[in-house]
Amino acid sequence: MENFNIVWHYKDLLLKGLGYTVFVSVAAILIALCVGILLSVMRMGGDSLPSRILKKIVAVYISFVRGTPVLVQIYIIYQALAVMGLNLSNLASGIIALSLNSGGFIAEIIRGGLTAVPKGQTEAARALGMSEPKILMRIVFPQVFKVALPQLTSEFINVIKVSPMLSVLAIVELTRTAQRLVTQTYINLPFYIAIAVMYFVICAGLEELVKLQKKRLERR
Amino acid sequence: MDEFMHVAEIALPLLLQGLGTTAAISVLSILIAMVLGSAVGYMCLSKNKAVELIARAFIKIFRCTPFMVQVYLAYYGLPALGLNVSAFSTGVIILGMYTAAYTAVILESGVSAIPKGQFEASYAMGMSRFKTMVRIIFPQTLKIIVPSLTGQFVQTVKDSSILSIITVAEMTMMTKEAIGITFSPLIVYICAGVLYWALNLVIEFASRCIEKHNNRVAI
Repeated sequence: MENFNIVWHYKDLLLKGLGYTVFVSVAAILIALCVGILLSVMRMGGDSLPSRILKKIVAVYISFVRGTPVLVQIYIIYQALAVMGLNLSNLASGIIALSLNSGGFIAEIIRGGLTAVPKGQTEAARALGMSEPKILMRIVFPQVFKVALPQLTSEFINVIKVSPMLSVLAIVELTRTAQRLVTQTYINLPFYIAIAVMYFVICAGLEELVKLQKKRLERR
Repeated sequence: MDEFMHVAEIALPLLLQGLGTTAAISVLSILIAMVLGSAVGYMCLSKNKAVELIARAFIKIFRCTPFMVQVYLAYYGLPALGLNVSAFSTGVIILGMYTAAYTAVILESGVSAIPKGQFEASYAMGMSRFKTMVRIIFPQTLKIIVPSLTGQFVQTVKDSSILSIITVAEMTMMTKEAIGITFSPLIVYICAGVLYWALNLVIEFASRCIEKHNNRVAI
């Protein structure tokens, strides 16, 4: 019990770490959303040779993202950015790695959502003389995101659960904070229990939100 | 390109050694997950509210915390409980439990897809609930859930990389050793990534073969 008092003593640091975790996750999911949209647009083309090549590239990208561990992806991106001569901070490369990973998954979610938009919608919009980008932005994507909202929230939960891996890049999010405190205080288990509870509260809360969103969708 | 070949030549034996450990960990964890996951899934369907609550709590706890934190908890927690097991066993146990939580959910959703008549017919034949589950329901469920189950196994292979933080000598750990020799991290990590990718593509391919086979049998 005494040990838990020590954890309580460091609550400010832990909460700061939690803030970092939330910040990193939100930033990553927002960029991932852009990556996902970009990937989906890239594979919307017809049967011409360039768009077929684009589709192949997207397919390989998504297969790689889904087929390799996030930890390895983080290392690869971190090293690749350095080799390319971009002098980014660890925080920036970590966020980029997370969003490139999550973007692949979001592209798959959007693919599912696209099937929920009837073809007549695009045809009607085209008949009204809207340009293709305008059709996507005004007609298709708003409907896709309405349908895919629960899955996107689930993906956000995933990003939060993956974010501890950024501790390998010395980004001081919640898990890294705990690791540091463990080496400072020589107390391990209470700190890890504490952060597990913190993660649990956030993820379980978001999961309830997913349920709510699903229910709202069914009612419509 | 020459540098790439040179580094790969040194790194690959080490990585393949790690790949063996990764495969061993994954297979053992998946076996644990199948057994434990079936038990938890069975408990979820129980009429006893207390039993169901325990199973739901198990699933919730493992699904709503990051796996990396679970690994730390197991690494420090198991010795505190008096279980002095090796890092390898710790990794297998925690990865097995984590996968079991997901397997249980997949099983449960599979069971709910089985028509009610199957249960009723088995009860009418005088089978007990347990026997109905094991002999009638689970075999049919297994066929339905092959795609989600193999998807989960791919996830397990990927998650095993996190065990490198508790010094289990699987592939991600071995990349660090290879980097220590070759001093070219990017090439070694790309090699490791490709090996993971290949392993998971094989699993996906196997999954598709099983599915095709099942569909043919069904017709």
